[in-house]
Amino acid sequence: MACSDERYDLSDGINKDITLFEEEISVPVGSIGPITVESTLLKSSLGETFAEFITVDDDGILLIESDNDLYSVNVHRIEAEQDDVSSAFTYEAGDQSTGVYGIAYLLGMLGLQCLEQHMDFYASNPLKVDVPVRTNLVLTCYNQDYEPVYDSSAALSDNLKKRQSDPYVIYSVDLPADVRDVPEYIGFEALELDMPANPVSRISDDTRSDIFKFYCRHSCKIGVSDNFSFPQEVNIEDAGLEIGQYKLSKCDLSIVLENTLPLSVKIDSIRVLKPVPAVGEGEEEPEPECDDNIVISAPIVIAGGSPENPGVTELKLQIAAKEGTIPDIHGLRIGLEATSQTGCDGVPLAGTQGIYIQSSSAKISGGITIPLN
Amino acid sequence: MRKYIISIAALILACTVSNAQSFQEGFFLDGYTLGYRYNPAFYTEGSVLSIGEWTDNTRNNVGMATFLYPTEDGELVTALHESITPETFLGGLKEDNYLNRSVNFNLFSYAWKKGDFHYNLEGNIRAGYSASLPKEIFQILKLGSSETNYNLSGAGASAQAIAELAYGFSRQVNSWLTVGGRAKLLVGIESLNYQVTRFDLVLSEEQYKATVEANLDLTSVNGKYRTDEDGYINFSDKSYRDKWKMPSGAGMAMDLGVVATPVEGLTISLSALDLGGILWYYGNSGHSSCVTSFDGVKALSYEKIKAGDIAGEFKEVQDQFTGNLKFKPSETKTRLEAVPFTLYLGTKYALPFYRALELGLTGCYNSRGGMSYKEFRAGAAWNPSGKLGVTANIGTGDFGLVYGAALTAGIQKFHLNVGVQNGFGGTVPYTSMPLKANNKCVTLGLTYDI
Repeated sequence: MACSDERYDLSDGINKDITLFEEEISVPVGSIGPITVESTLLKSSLGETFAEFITVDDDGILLIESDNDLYSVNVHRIEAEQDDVSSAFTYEAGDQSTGVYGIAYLLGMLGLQCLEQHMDFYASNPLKVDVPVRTNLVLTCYNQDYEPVYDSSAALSDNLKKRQSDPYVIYSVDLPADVRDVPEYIGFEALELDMPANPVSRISDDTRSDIFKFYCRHSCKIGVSDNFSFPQEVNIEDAGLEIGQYKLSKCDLSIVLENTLPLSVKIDSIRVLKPVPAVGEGEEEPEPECDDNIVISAPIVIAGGSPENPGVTELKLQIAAKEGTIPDIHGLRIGLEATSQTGCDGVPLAGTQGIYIQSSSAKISGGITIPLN
Repeated sequence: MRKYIISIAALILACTVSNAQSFQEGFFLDGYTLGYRYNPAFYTEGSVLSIGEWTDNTRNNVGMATFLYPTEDGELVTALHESITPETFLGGLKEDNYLNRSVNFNLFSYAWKKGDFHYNLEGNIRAGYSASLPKEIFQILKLGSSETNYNLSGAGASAQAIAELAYGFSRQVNSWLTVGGRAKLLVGIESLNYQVTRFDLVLSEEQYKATVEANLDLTSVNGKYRTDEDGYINFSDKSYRDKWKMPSGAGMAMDLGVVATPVEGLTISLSALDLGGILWYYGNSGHSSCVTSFDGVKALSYEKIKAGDIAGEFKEVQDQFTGNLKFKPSETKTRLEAVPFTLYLGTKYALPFYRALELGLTGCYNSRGGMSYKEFRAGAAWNPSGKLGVTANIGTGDFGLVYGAALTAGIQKFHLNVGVQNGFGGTVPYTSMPLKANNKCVTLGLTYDI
């Protein structure tokens, strides 16, 4: 008879957890990217750090720039060091030197190259009169074995223009194309400035400084050397993939990658990290452990290429739980090795080069649980 | 994805003109004076006035027990819960799963006799709605896309209201045969009709592709919708000028019946109801045709991933699909629609040793396209006088086992008619939602002998 069945009483609520596509569902995921050198270095959270040193020129080529101080001296100090300033005199600043450090300096250590190196030398003059200056400019580059690979010197003389408290370029030099190491020694040897009488009284009223300043701006493009090799185990500890709630047991990913970077990347292993247990204040956080229950297929080799001839790789990647379902992924440990493509030596990198996922799809087996409660 | 599919499914609708089921139990009640409703050959001696008989009929070919499952620990889970096997859930579904409700409200009914003829005149308001979902929708949700090609076309839904003015007569041809007929004028009031004529869904690893063609007919005495600047029907912009209070459709239908009493105590009834159609004039008539494909998000950028804007990308895909489902106005504004007809066959026999006790059989076939059904019942009735009669019956059909009971009771010149039929299987507590497939009908009316 049509009496009510208490087992179906809705007033106690319904468990709304649902599991969809219990046999299998294929999902076209689509194209992603490009993930470029520019976007990862300059537009990521690291961007503020790198943007100080790395820029992209009008042709889209990556540039590294760094300013390196050579010498600065206050006019009052110059006058104080002289016994008699009532007539014009020559101030002997002596030997001054600096080197190119920072990111450009590190490129060689990473297997990268400095290409098309250019140097601009800047100077400022706070006085109301021109100041002749003379020095012997010396540039020396060393390779990783600290052997000199480039050495040059040139007599440099100039009239520092009056009222130039903002430094301006007094000399520029391009290093030979085959020099791929940065100058570690940049010397202004026997630097002399021809000062007028009573220089303090000649400080310009419309300048904001009373300092003579010399520095050089080094810029270069970035290239990958033929012997580039970068084996690395990378820990991604803030993955934050909260997929445990969906109770997935197996997921097959099909990805077609297009790589315009001249690097082939071999991923030897991808392992899921277990969450790190909370530690007390002052205690050292333990190393995250790998979750051996989750298996991600490897190795994977991503072919390198160039903007003209991208490397295209079809990848099949499987993520599966040996038992139960795939938990939240808090972190990954990726063992990879990036090596250069042959023929990439001396070719500068563009900011637009990177990896582009042309198409991708996922095949999920065993259902997707959606907790609606 | 689930929302995406459900949104599609919610739009799948079937169309029929509403027709409430007649008060079948009345066949067994000698005191029921409105028998011409299920067979126009039936008549009542003298004049009878009936006001306000109300019949509410709900039919569903799947019940809530197909979608809800109690567990051993007292919890109630849905059919999509992982503990419910695909065989259990999908095995309980029909190819087309539908709900149909129709209400018939009798404004008046007057029957009288003149010469050898018995006449009747009545006015009714019919209203109803129906909706159906094909099994494939649930199959996709439960199992996934192990099959890649799905045909979800041919389904639909409707909601309609019409007024009916019926004029009938019956005549006794000889001592054992009576024939009758009724002509009905149908006036359309409101109608919504959505038909999916084509819905091919292809799910593959590379692409989801939907080819959808649909027709929408919408009319109302209250006005019609304007079009937007792109020429599509705009459902948020209604004009009240053009169709104010005008009928939306007109049609004709007829009932035919014959009653035979070949031997004393034996009655055989055969009738066909609602043979006809209605011509609707649609204030808005539109056609939608689109091929939409989804092959993943387009160039999801690294910046958007970092910003967590992936959901926004999928929203764009959804908007694109729903945008494609918009309706262009059609040139054709009229459509002739057949009224679902019903065939009734009944026989009853008054026992010779006690004529007040009758036994009988009835059968019925209702043609409603994909929602057609048939049903057979066996019943018994006790009619001790023309003022009192009770009946009970049990039967089976496309909605499973069904039982019914009815009463007619007269006090002076008034007759109260009450009937109920329902299925077995129970309901969800504190609701009227049946747990099994069901054909439920409630009738309540009052007549007056003039």
